[in-house]
Amino acid sequence: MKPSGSAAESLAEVFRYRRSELVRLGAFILGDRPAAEDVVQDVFLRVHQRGDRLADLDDPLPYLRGAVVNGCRSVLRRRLLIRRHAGKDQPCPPLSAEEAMLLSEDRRQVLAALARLPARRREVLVLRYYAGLSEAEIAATLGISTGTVKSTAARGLAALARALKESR
Amino acid sequence: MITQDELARTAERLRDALTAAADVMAEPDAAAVIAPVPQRPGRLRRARAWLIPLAAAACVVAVISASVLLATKLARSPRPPASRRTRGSRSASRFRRPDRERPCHGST
Repeated sequence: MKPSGSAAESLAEVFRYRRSELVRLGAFILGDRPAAEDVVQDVFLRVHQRGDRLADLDDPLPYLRGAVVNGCRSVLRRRLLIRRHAGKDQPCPPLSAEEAMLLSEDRRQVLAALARLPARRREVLVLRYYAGLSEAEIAATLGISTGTVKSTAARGLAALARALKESR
Repeated sequence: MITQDELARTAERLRDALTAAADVMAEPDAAAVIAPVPQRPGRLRRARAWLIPLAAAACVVAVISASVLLATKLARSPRPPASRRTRGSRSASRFRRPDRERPCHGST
């Protein structure tokens, strides 16, 4: 079903204003910016093809965020498969060399340590500390319980702290 | 062992690093992605696509027909009148010997 004119317009509006945010979220989860752009593009394409009316939602961002996180998971699964069979997978870092140069050494270390965390912990930490979601919102986005969010976030943060301590 | 204080500091560092990275991350060019949907060409524009070549072909046919017609007409046109001397006859007359005056064997 194709969306009507106004639905297409509202989708374009959401795309224009929310795309960057979603791409960044995906880039931090995947550690790969072009892949994140593809995920976001796919999400919007699916919404458009299905004729979903984002205008009907009070705030379409949580829905889109959940779709992007799911898309990122698919990419990570595919990547795992590639790594297992082909033995190589070189994702593009979320920041280009020029962009990374603008960050301090400390921030680069934090981002590198985050990229080395398991996917689930990374998702939770990014949603918590980049997207600023509450535990309940993260639970709804990832489809897990609030308790799991809490424990995953605590373990992720501890692992990050350990990694940063070791890298010093 | 990681203390609560260290965890809080790590969380703060993580938030700061992610915010800074998001700030330096070049703005994805959404405008390039949102290209204006091409309008369906109108009737006139669609007709123009085949009308112009057709008109050009018609012009070529018209020019060829006109030249063929003209050539045919000229070929069928009546010959110039006999009185009109051709170039050859003019030159021949130039070298024609003048008529001798006939002797008058007249009655005189």
